[in-house]
Amino acid sequence: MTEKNNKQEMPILMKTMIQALPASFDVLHVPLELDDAQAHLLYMKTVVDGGVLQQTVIKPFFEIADEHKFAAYMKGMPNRIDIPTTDELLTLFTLGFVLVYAENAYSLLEVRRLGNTEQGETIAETTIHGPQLAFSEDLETNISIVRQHYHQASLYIESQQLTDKSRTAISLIYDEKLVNIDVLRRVKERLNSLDSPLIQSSAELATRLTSRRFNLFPTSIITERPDRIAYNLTGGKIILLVDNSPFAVVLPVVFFDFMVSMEENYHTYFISLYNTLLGWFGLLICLTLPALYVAVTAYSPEILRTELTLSIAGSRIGVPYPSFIEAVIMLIFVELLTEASVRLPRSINAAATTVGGLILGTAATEAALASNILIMIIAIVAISTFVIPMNELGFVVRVCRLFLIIFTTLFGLIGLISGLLLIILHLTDLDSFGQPYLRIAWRSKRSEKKVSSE
Amino acid sequence: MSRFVYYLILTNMLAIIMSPIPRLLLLRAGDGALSGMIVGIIGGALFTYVTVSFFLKYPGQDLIELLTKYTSSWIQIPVTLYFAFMWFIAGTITLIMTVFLLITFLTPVMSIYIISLSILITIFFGVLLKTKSILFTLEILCVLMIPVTVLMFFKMFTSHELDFDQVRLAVMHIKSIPDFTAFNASTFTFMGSANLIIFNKYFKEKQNISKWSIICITLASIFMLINSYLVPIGFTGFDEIDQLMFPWTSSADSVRMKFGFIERVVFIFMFLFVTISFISIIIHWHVAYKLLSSIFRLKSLQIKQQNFTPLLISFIFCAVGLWLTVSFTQYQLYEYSKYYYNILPIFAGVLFLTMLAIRKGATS
Repeated sequence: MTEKNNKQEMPILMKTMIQALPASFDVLHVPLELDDAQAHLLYMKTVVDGGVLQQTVIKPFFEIADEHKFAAYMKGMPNRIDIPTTDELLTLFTLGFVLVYAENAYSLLEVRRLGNTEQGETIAETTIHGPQLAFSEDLETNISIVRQHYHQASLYIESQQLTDKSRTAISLIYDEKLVNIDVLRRVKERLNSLDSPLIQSSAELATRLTSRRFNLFPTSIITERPDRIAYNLTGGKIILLVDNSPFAVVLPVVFFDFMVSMEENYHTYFISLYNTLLGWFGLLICLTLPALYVAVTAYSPEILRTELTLSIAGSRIGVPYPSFIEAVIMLIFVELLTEASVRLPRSINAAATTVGGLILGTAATEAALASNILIMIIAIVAISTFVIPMNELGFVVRVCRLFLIIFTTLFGLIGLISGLLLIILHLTDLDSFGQPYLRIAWRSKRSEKKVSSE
Repeated sequence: MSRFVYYLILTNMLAIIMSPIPRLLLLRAGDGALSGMIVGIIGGALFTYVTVSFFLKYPGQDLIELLTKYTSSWIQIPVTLYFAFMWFIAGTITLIMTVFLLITFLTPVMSIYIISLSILITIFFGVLLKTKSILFTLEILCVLMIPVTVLMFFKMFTSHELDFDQVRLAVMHIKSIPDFTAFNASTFTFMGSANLIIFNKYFKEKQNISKWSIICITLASIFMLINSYLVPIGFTGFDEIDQLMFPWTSSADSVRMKFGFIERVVFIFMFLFVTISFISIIIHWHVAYKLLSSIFRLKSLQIKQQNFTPLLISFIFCAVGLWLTVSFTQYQLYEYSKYYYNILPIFAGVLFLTMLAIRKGATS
């Protein structure tokens, strides 16, 4: 009699769990009963894959129809883990675990409903010849994509959970043979000492990982391209994947990594060399050209050849304010335009750029609010910003450009040289997880391929 | 030898254009400048060999460490202070000369305070950087400047205005007795290797100095001295060369680029040499700052976990630099810098004696 009573009553741990969990509609307690056999399931409906649960737990129970055999079957499940402490158990429910009770024993099964496993097309870094698909938004799918791109037994994957409210699963991926141990130690230290309340995406994780609070230059790359990940793994770098985020974080980086487009690997030597040089030229142009305009018109017009100086002066006839105000106004206007075209839905995008770029540009020169040459310079600058392969660097360059203009406005041409030097000094002073940020590494073909310091 | 040692030496060589050295040499064009330079080159090569081979024996250790390890404090403190003074003055001479050049050639209407400030802001932060970061910056700038340097020499030596008869006229005076200032000034070309007293901390690997590296350095310095002495004579003539305040820059101003954006090549050169002098000042002052901060560490400036002594030292450097810049005239600069170069033999003697003392301490 007592034995039968025991069987009908709810097991103790189940009971405490149900009391501890909030009474949401999706917290389900399912008792299974057939003849003498009996089992209990406890899980959250919305995070558990119902089909898999049905196939691997509920259906076998009714087929086996024997409590002892079912308990043995449970013990042999590949996704079973041992029962942790009560607090941890509660979080595991929210991650998609199912608590199974059968024959006085508890099992915890992972029957997680997978997120968005669809691989989208590459948006942020497009190439012509490279792979066209980016990462998906599901961690396990992403790990499998990395494995597909990098078939090496030495590829090591460590999983852990963030300690914030989101409890997001993250993976640390590296090639055991190539990785720099010192960097790995630093990354783990930083990961363990994270104290942010909520981290939602890999970009946010990357910013939180840097020790400096006020940072301009990113110390890690955010990428959506699986081929870039494989490329970086060969260079001994560490990859961080975050669940629910289609971007991966690459650590540590050197400045030159931001100037590498994956396209360069898919072309012949001279074409990729030409493209690289074009990228660097674009970087130089979009950094210095507006400041150079200010320096040349306001401070030292004599450095240009006479004809050029005259035509610049001619085009500035009627402009009522000094050139730095002119340059700053137009530059901010273009920044607004770029920002607007990022925020707007794609369908309206074209209209905004046309109105902003073409009509306002022409009107500004006709109203003599800006010189023709400045409009040209601003357009060149805007175009060459897009030549920079990594978006992250593009954002930084926009800030540096304004800084250079301010320096030039205050000090003239020497201010420009001084400001550029200050940026270089700042870059060489930075480090990314202990590795120098900007330095010329002669010994390897590409800086990205080697991170080991001398 | 690490490539960074070459960069240190080469930067110092290029920076002599932005120092009073070309004029000091040309002032003695008639009597003993050329022979002084030849003796100076031999002396400088010897200096480089001794300094570099001494520091290669102690990889990863700078002079401060060596002094505290192997000598007593009554040697250490005066020697450190003296070296700090010498390096600070070397940087200051470059700074004042750069400001004077800029105010003469680039922005004559700008206030001298603003020009000095625009340089000193960057220098202030540059001095405080890690030694390693300064080396990386140095390398990047050297690489960036190579095309401009090649263009410069190409334009200068292929120019029509370069009159070789005048050069031959100058070479005729080779037999006169060597001039003391010319000797010292051309020795200074080699003194980049002395920066190792701080930068040696970074060169941790055991390295050798080969005779080829000394030959290369000597050839480079001969080239730079020819560039700073014979080229101005070729452009402006032998007789009136001592009338020019900035002989090298004025000569470079006679070179034109017919089809370029920038017609007067001197502005491209200015860009090159201002950058070189920036990094040269940063290197010199960084050495001085490191030497000083090994002696002074003010407890009263300790706020929370940070000590602000480095900031104070850098600030004092910049303030003194600014004050000297605005108070000197060009004539005074040449006069006083001549004294500075003339006490260089004493400096070399002190350096060698210190090395001897360290070696003695190390062997006993």
